[in-house]
This record gives sequence, structure tokens and C-alpha cells, in this order.
Amino acid sequence: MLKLNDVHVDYGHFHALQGISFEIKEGEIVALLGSNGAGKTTTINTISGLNKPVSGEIIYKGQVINDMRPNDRVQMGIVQVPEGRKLFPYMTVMDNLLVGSFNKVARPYRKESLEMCFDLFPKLYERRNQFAGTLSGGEQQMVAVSRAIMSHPEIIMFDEPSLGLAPVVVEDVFENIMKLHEMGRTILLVEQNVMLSLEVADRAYVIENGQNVKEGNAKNLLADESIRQAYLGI
Amino acid sequence: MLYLQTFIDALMIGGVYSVIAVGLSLIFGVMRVINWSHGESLMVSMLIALYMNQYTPLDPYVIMLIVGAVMFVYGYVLQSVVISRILSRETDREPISCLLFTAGLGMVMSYSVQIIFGSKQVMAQTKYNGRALHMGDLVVSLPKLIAFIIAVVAVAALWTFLQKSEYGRAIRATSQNRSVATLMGISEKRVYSVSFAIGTMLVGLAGGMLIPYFSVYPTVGSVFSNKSFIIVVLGGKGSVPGALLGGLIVGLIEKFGALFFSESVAQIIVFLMFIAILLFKPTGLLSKDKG
Ligand SMILES: Nc1ncnc2c1ncn2[C@@H]1O[C@H](COP(=O)(O)OP(=O)(O)OP(=O)(O)O)[C@@H](O)[C@H]1O
Ligand SMILES: [Mg+2]
Repeated sequence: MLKLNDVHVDYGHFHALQGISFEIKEGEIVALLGSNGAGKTTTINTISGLNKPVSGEIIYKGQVINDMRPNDRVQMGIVQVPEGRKLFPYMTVMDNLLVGSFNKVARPYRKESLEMCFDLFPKLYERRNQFAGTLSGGEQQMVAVSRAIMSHPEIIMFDEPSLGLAPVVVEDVFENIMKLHEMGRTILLVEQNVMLSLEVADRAYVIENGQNVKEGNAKNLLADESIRQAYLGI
Repeated sequence: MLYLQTFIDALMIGGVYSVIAVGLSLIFGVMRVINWSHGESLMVSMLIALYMNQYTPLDPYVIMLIVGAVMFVYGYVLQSVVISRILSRETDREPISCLLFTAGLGMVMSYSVQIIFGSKQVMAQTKYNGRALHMGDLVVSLPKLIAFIIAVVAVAALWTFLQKSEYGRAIRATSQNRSVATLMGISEKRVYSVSFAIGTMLVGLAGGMLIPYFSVYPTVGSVFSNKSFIIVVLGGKGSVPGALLGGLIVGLIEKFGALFFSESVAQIIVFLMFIAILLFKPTGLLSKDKG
């Protein structure tokens, strides 16, 4: 469904991605692991179109989308839940969700998407007229996930969805990721919580310094000695 | 009675200030570009309205709507063809080169008009000139009253558009976080063009509503643009209700300052207030921005 072929990305003189390659098949949950500064967010932003690759290809459904603008990629079904949530703080929860379904493909599904969000997060319905900036961290994460659902995505990329959340809430977040997966969404998951992400993922890729270093079946990686040492501390 | 008369006069001019300032504020709020040619756009709008009034039989307020439409197209094209190119080369959130460009553009507009049109002051002759309503001892100038009403309606309409419409929501999202807005499927470039167009359209309307009582000359724009910068800072950058409030406050200070002291003292008070706001409440009265 989505494929990266030897993608290189620069920030000025800094060579952030030095040949990232991976593939996500339809219906999969793929985890992207790596330490701080490895290039995970950069990878997601490159898939979304916020960063432009200097070389390599991003192929979505058989089409090279390197030159497609970010807003057009959303219409094609590529959506991310950004690192740090990045809500529109001075807009109500409801407005944040509605902005999510701004694109023409998503708009006809607006009503059912809204229902789906409020089903997943009943609390958001109570908070619908509150400014998003005044929500708690966990509530903000719910809005961020819902906003992505509103875009009628085929593939959702989560960038550290559990960041700053209490362990109980983290479990909720993962439960919801699994629910979305069961509803047929393809998922790319970037997470600090390596243990949890390897448990939910089908496959995983490990990157370091903007390069692929390991890949494989999530269960095998979970058993991998070097992974356990580097990321799990056991 | 004198106070009531002054109050009415203040509101009526304040409304026009507001509509001009709202345009500037919208452009700044969305794009973080200060349009230094805003006043010159007003001057050109007045000039177009003046000539249309002279050479067509149309009512000045019909002309005003046409000028508004023309200025909408002008703003849209200016942003999407020229400014967007300069902007795309800038990485800064408050791009300095756009500032320089619009400042230069303003000068070119003002000097060109000076060369072609001369630096004379011309007053349009319309059927509204000098008409007034008398209510007891109160005298309310008709064109000023009409201008005030249109200004308030225009600002209210803009506010409703931004708050209630699909595209207005997209504009608000872009002004709060432009890269995330594109991740929601919003075309940043298009939002910029529409916002710029609305900004110049408001100035076009203002130009049209001013000509029955304000004469046109090449530097008339700066009379209003200086005030609109102050109003934008006073009301809060990017805030529509803030610009409306700011416009009315500046109108009040001017008129009451002139009543109690003199017109030049009134201008000094306006500037002192501007400095005070910068020092003590730099975000303005109604801005949601923290910085
Ligand atoms: N806008 C930028 N300009 C310059 N360098 C950047 C920029 N964004 C990221 N980088 C650098 O690129 C590298 C990869 O950053 P990235 O945000 O992709 O890491 P990450 O894997 O998401 O890390 P984390 O787990 O901390 O979120 C880092 O060294 C970072 O400093
Ligand atoms: Mg990151």
C-alpha cells in the first residue's frame, strides 16, 4: 500500500534521512522504532509531504507521490496524528474535528465519522464546545486521534501517541488503535513504548541515524537480544 | 448634546477605520505578513470609485460593491502570483522580504498615482455629498451614517464567515498552525490568497464608502493605514472583533481629543495610547495569541 524506496531527506546541511526503505501492506500495523533523533518524525512528515525527499521514492497505491502537496495526500487517505498532538488550540473540540473532514473525500462521511469518534471517546461529546487548548493531555490525544478519523483515512500514522500520558491512558490509546485497525485502517506506529508497540504490531522496522538497521516480524523482534538491550533495557 | 454629537461622529469615522483595520488584521493573522501597501490599496480604490462615479451613472454604493469585487480579484492575484513566490523562499514565520515587498509596492502605487493624477485633492460629486439627517439639534451626515452601517455589516459578515463557514474554519485553522492545517487537507496557498483577497476587498469597500465625504489624493492612504496599524495592535493582531473595537476606540479618542484639546493633540493621544499598549499589553485587547 505504502512503500518508501531509499528515501533521503535533508534539513539544510543536516542529512536526516539517509536512505530509509520500508513497506506497509494494506491492513497491517507496522511499528517504526528508533531512539531519539533517529528520524521517525522526519519519516512520517516526509510521507505526509511536509518534508521533501532529495532522492528516493514514496509510492502510495502504486503511484509515486514525491511531488504531491500535503493537502492532496490527505485526500488520498494518508493521515497522521502528529507528535505532540498539535491541535488548533483556539478552536472548539467540535471545530477541530470538523477541520479534520475538510477534504472533499471525507466530507460526505462527516456524520458517520463524527459518530464513530464520539463512540470511541464519549468524553469528547461532553467537551465538544470547549477550546481544545484547555483540554487535558489525554483528552487532547483523543481529539488528535478523532481529527485523523474525521479525514476518512486509509492509513493512519501515529507519532508517539502515548507521549506524556498516564499508563492507564496509554492502554486506552492502544486499545483504540487496535479498534481502528479492526475497522480496516492500515497503521504506522511510532512509539517510545517499544514493548507495547511490538505487542500490537505485525511487523516493525528499526531505524538509527536516518538509516534502516533492522526489520522483521514483531514477535521475533520482541525476542531479539539486541533490541531487548537497546530499547527495553532487559 | 455636544457630547452626544461628538460620540456619533466618533462612531461613524471609527467604523470606517475598523473595516480598513480588519482587512489588515486578517491578512496579518493568517499569513503573518504586514501588508504595507494597505493604505495605497485604499487610495487606489477611492480613485477607481471616483472615476466610476464621474463616468458612469451608477449609484456610489453600487460602485462601492464593484470596487470591492475588483479589489478582491486584485488581492487574490497579487497573493497567488507574486507574494506566494516570495513567501515560498522564506522559511521565517514572519517573513521580512514580504514586508519589504509590500512597502515597496505601496510606494510605487502612491508615486505612480502622483505622476499620472498629480498631487491635487479631488472630491467626488455624488448625490449623497453633504446630505444630512437632522434629529433635534443632532446633525448626522448621511454618507457617514451609511458608511458606518456598511462597515459594521461588513465586519459582522466577515466574523460570521470565519466562525460559521467551512472555509472560514479552514482559514482559522491555518492561522493557528499552517503546517498542521495542510495535514488536514487544507491548501495553505489558497487560504492565503482568499484571506489576502478579503483583506483588499474590505479596503475596496472602504474606498467606495469614503468618496462621498472624503477627498482623494495620492497620499490619502497613509491617513488611514497609519491608524489601522495602531488599531490592529490595539485590538489584537488577527482579531476581527478586536479590530472593530480598536477602530471605534481610535474614533472616540480622535473626536473627543479634538473637542477637549485640538486635533493634533488628539493624534498625539492616539500615538501615546499605541505606545502604552505596546508596553503594557502587547498582545492587544482581544487577541488570543500569547506572543
Ligand atoms: N526542522 C529541523 N531542522 C533541522 N534539523 C532537524 C529538524 N527536524 C528534525 N531535525 C533533526 O533531524 C533528526 C531526526 O529528527 P526526528 O524528529 O525525525 O527524530 P525522531 O526519531 O522523531 O526523534 P524523537 O523520538 O525524539 O521524536 C534529529 O537529529 C533532529 O535534530
Ligand atoms: Mg519524533
